[in-house]
Amino acid sequence: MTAAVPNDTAVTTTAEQRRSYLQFDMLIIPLVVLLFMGIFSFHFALLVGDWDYWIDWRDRRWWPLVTPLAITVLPAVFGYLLWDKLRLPLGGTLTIFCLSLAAWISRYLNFHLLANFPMDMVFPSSYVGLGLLLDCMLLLTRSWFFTGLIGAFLVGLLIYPMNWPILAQYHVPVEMDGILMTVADVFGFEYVRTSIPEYLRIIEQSTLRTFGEAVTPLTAVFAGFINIINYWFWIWIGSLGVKAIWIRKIV
Amino acid sequence: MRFSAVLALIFLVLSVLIPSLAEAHGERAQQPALRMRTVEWFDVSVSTKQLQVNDILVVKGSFVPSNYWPEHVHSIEGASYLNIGVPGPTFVRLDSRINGTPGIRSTAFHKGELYNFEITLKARKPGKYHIHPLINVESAGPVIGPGIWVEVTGSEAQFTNTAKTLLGQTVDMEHYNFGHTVAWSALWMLIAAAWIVYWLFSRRPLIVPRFKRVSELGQDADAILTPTDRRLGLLFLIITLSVTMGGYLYANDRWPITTPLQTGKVHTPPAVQAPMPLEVTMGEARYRIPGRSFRIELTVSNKSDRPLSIGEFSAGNLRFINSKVLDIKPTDEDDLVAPDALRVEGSPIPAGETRKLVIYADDAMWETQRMTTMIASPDAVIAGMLFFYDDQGKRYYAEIGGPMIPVFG
Amino acid sequence: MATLASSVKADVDKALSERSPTAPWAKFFLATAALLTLFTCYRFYQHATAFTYGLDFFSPEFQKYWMSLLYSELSIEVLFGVGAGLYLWATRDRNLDKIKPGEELRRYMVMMSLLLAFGVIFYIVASIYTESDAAWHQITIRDTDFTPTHIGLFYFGVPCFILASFVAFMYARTRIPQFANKLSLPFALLVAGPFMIMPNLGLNEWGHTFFYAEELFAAPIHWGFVALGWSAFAAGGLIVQVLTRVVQLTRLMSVDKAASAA
Repeated sequence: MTAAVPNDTAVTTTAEQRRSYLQFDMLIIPLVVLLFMGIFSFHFALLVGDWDYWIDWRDRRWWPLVTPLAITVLPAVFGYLLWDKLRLPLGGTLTIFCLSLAAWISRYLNFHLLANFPMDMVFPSSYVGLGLLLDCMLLLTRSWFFTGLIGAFLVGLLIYPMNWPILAQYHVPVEMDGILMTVADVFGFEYVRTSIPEYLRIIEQSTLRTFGEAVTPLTAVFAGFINIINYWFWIWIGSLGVKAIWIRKIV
Repeated sequence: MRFSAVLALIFLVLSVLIPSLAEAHGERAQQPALRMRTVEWFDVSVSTKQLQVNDILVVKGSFVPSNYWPEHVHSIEGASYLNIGVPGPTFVRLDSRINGTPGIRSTAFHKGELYNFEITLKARKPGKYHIHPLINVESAGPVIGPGIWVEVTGSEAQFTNTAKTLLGQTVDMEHYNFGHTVAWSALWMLIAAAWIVYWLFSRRPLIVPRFKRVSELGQDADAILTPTDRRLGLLFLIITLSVTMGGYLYANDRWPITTPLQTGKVHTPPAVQAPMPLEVTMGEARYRIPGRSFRIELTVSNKSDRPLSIGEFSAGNLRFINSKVLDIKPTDEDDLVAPDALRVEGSPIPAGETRKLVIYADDAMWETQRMTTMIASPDAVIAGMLFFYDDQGKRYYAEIGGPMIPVFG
Repeated sequence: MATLASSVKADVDKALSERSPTAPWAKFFLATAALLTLFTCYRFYQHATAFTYGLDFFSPEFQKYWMSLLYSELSIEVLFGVGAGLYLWATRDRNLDKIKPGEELRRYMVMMSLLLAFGVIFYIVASIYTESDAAWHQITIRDTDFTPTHIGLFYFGVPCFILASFVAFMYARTRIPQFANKLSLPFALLVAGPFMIMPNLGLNEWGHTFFYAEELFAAPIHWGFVALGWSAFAAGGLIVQVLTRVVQLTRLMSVDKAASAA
């Protein structure tokens, strides 16, 4: 359906050709960066949202399960574009880097300056290493199948340990009014959120029945498993997204 | 950093230039049935109306969940949470008690039972705030109590808030190890940035020639990758895994004792209510729209040994006062108290007698607080709280409720 | 002779290279600066008046500071959209079959710079304005659809990026042969998805006042917005369409001829 190859050309020398190519670099690279910052923030806000906004939502059971599922979508979809059309193993790192950058800017402007929360309660988690895992795995295996099987599994598995250096300090126990709390829970109670009452927190309410305190590793393995299928699914969507389809009219 | 400093400065200047008062909290938008038939609030007070940053403010009061709770609204007996309606953490909440039980976790409140609450706040940001107690009810949203204006002066920069952990450390809640958090996040961003720079900026022009070459190579497009590319892939994979595992071990070593986030629902026992020696039933209730006048017929049995008078009718946080019995003035311009708006025919009720009474609650508040939209409700039922006083000033209360008929002419 | 020939060749090359198109960077940066100023001013206004006059929909101050802003911005957006659409259509190129490759390449660059401007708005709105809405609704009590952050997000920001994508789409439809002759499905999705966010607001507001009173941001009631946001996943298809044509337009004929001779 593409137009016929023109008989004439817009460039006559390699210097001109290079100049044109550079123009498109300058147009396309910032465009994808801005799109990734926008789409990923929007997608992540509406699927993970509060789990990443508030320190007292990053629990052992739901946060490490919901987050990898949402965070793998763009690396897979745009990873397909960047790898299949350009052989750039950047889908994971670049998209998540853009998300993280946008998240820091937004938390500072919105949750800190506008809504007045201290930054140590509303900072975003660190996810960009997960993108590196996917990209390195894709580069080394050059296979969607193995990147899903190993890389996407590692994304689910490692999201918790990757963030533990930051989160651990918030899980130090505190006693308040005769109740056991963590530092994170104290933030949630003290810094008033008028429309986010305590019951709205979707966090672990009991340990797993027979695995006791092994909630974190078991959740990690489960998240890794679902994320394999999740990655493959979104790779397929990515393969549809890059189709250069032309139609005659809107039907 | 300079950019953020400039931004902060502009916000600071703006916040000084524009008067910082915060308005009421939108309770006027809620349907009147929701306001009248959910929670009966009373005796809401604040310990002070003028305070400095770091000063303590205690908000006290009582509430009784309505027996006329609408069927179509999720019940307060499910999951609920006593909260405070201030715009964001302009105050921090140090303590919250309902009948002495800590209000840290979610709970359930029961219809017709009495709950006395006390919320201790610490002022964090200067401004004038309309403070409301409120109850979040799961799937029903916020049920808002009466609001009181409070003014905070001083400097936000002076605010301090600490917590003590069970391991004996004191935590600065405003900047808790934030340098550590930023450093750790920045480390990851730098590693990722190195990877991105290598792929996007080490060869120029990039996009068009690479697209062209990959298209030409087709199935063999992997040939475009160089041995350096692959070696870097392996190196970054090792770095990522090592930093992850190293960080995890470091954190476990630095914070060996941690507990999971704490949650759960607690039981809040209702307060023991003094016996109410009276019975009240509501007869006909007609609201005359042009006169903004509510006429309610009542049958009251006084089972006490003293005469009783009706001093106040409260509905949806609007308080109509019988000035012959009570002398109550609004505490501020937005206190929804009409000091002389309740007329009672047939009061007082002698001891031991049953009488028919008519009360008239007449005030423009019905209109200004948008309660008149009750005629637009598909469930035209009202409820409110009557406060009776004996000749020694002892107070009794009883909730009334039932259908309402509008009078248009 | 050889020196003269090479000198002439250098002159010709220089003249030709001066004709080789570039994106309208000056206009782009000017437009971006204007957009950034607009969005920053809006944000300062929001910061200064949201907590003071934006908490009670039924107060006269709310009507003055927020509803008048809403009515003004909606009117300007409709006028701008209709005006830009009519202008692009009225000034369309009626001789697209005669267009030179250099001009076609230039138009691709213009289209991409329009999309880049769209990208600037899209980032600001989808990230900063969206999360300001999240932050606001989680600390206040909603009493209207027209909350200060909704007036910024849904009635200013979202229409702005709909307009930006519409302008880029109309530019391509009226000035670039390939996009004029056929309809690019990925491009159409990129415009239609954001556009559908506006009608989807109906579900959001109906749901929030009926069956979902909480302000949890990741709640299912918001997933309609996510699905529509995913229409941006078609951006890859559009980039492939553009790159394919750019490769054709920037071939070096001599190299091609040499290759075919070989």
